[in-house]
Amino acid sequence: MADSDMPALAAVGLTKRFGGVMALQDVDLALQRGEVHALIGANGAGKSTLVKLLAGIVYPDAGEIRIAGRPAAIANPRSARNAGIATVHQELSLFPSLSVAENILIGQELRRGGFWVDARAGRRRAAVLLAGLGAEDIDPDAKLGELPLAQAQIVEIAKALSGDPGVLILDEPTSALSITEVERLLALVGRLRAKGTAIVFISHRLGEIERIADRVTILRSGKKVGEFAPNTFSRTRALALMLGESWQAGRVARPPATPAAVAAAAPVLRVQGLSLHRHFVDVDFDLRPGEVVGLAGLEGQGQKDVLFALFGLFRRGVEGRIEIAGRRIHPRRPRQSIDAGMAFIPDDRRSLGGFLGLSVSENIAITVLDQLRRGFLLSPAAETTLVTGLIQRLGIVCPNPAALLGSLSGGNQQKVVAAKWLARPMPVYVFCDPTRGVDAGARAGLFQVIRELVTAGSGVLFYSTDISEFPALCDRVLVFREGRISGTLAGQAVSEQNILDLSFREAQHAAA
Amino acid sequence: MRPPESRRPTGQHGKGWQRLGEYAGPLSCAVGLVIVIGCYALRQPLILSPFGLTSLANVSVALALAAVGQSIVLLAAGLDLSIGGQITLINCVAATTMGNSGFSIAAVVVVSLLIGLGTGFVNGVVIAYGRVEPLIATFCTAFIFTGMALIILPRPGGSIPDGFAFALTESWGPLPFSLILLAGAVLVVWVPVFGSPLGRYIVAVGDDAESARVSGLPVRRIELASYMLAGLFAAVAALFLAAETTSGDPSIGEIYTLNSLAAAVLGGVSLSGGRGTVIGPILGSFVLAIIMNALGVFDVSAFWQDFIEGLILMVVLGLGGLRLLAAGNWLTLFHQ
Repeated sequence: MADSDMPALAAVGLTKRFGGVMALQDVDLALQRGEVHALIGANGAGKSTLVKLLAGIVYPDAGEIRIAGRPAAIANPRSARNAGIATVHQELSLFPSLSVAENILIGQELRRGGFWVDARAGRRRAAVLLAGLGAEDIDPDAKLGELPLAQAQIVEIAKALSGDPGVLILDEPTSALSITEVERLLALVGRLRAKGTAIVFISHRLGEIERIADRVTILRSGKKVGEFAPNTFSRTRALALMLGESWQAGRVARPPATPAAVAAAAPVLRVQGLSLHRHFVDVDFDLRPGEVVGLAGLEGQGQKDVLFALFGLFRRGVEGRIEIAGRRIHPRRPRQSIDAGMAFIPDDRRSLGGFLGLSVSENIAITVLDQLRRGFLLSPAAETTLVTGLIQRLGIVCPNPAALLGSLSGGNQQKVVAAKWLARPMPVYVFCDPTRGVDAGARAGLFQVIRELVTAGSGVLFYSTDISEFPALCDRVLVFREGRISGTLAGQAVSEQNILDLSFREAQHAAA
Repeated sequence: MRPPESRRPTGQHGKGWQRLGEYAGPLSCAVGLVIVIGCYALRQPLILSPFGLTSLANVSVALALAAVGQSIVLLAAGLDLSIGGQITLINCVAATTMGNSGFSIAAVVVVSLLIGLGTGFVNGVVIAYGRVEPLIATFCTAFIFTGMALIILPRPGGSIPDGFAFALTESWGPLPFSLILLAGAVLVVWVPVFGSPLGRYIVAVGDDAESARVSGLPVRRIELASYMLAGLFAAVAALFLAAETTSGDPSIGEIYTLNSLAAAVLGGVSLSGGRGTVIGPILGSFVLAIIMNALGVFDVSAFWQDFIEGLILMVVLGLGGLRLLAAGNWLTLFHQ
């Protein structure tokens, strides 16, 4: 074959912007036949965007994808599939109401008489594909929705393989699997490689990367910052590249050291043995007045779900002990947590905390309407006093308190949502990724508000998808991995490097 | 969601029970149907005669056809509030144009079916390509279709040849022709659709539209197809109603919109898409239609009839919402 040294797939200068965020900038990638190419990077590095571009889910703003040297128009998932690119998605692309066999063959049903779906042949084909994955125990007739996640993950892989793809993209395929299942998957990847398939492998487990990857590309903030040729991978250099300058500079913007008084104070929030099936296990920590505790880790390791559980967003299944200001609560709806003294500032202002169609003033006063009453009616004067005070204190930029929340910038919207909880002091504040989509100036302002809150004696729980925010804000950081706290950092030890280290640390696999 | 490992055994309940659970809707409807007919027969034993059974079938079949059409849309996680409007429009067209010759009857039947596909096409294009919410889109098109019917036939009238009426509403011994029509429509439309990949895609889109897109399915064309199939069933229902009343009526379709929804839900079709059978909505239609017919026959005042009908609909549609409460997380509940 003349084109045997031509990459099976080459991406050239791929660029993608989402709104004001440059998700991917001028990234090149060359996938060779029979080679496993790993992609690594911290949250927001652009791995998922790159996968989405290759899978045809989003369309690049610039750059092109070439298959066997020829430009390929990957306009949608179907054309990607037709071009021989199959993807195992992190958010599984499966259908809970359909059977395993139906899921595996969706879009490429075997037919009988050119029209009817041949269910029997489909079951046989599905069984063969599952057996190839060493998963004979999965019944092709079972409803997908009734399988545990690990088995669903294997079905997703079988589905990707059903079209016999030339390029296979595996986006964190191992995160839901047990050790034995991971072994099987890695063996399968090895077999596919031997067959000549070009494979993209994304994983947060550096051990797997070291074992299976021929070539490793490192992304940071949407850019390709390094590539390791076969047999040159080094873990320390990889971590350094993922972090960028902050690694060398050891950038520190520490908050004032925690006073001894804080350590001695009774906790405002005490969490013991908190578990939720499939979300997090055995989470223990205390939050004392005067401290900001960060919940860090790679996205989706259960840390956000812990916050949701504390705020009563899970209606059932949460086990363990939650105490706010010494009182035990079993929050099953947000009202219960609020009454106990917890305020929640969410990342998604649209659905979870702000009334975009109401005014700034109405948004802020909504939590304290009972205190603003004079007799039966609301007192406009009391509302104005309260609202203008908070607008000044938080530096909210708005034409006037009657302006609609939806007309403000993202950062100012976030401040308004925070202001509504500052109207009445609470012992515990939960900030759940509050800086998402917020510019640097507004972020600094928000951090100042958070520090003021703890100075005034509240405790703050802080979760962010941006790892650089933890050292700048937190007194202590709990690093989550696969639903457990994999380590706690305090004081000077709170650094991006240490957080990433704990985030990437190999799982102990106590369960296996 | 990147949850920690879970090792929960798969088949805690036997497989048989799971299969049974899927058919809970149709099964409870079958039991309900026996009870309803039993109660009816206690007051009016003649209902069990061939003539009585034929009349029960005839009051139910139009709703059953509408409910099957509605179910196809629901399976794709859509909603068709214009089923009644489509029925009205096609009924009025058929009643004003059918004439008496075999040729004109056949032509009108074909044209009616084409109009059904056309009205469904309009709904599907507005929803799938215009990205208008199904609720709003079909609420609006319902007015358009009904309005067109009123232009064609402002007052009940028109005429239907006896032969056509006879062919759809009489019986062959104890076997009502109307049931043969229903079975035929299911055999000619539902069975091929759901035996081919299209039917599977309809269910897949209703189950998880994002997964369907990522899996490379032509989501919008599938949605369009579901509305066109609903229109086709509405057309068959409209022709049957024309035969049953031997005339056209610009208000005849009204009740079929909500009733078809209720019959589908009663028969176990999920309002959030992806789950349902064909037998469920058919049995659900028979239960609802016979209850409502009985209210009329047993001299329940018209005011109470509306009240009871509304109450039944609310309870049935509420049952559909009850399932959502099984969600473990307030957020998924709100985002439904």
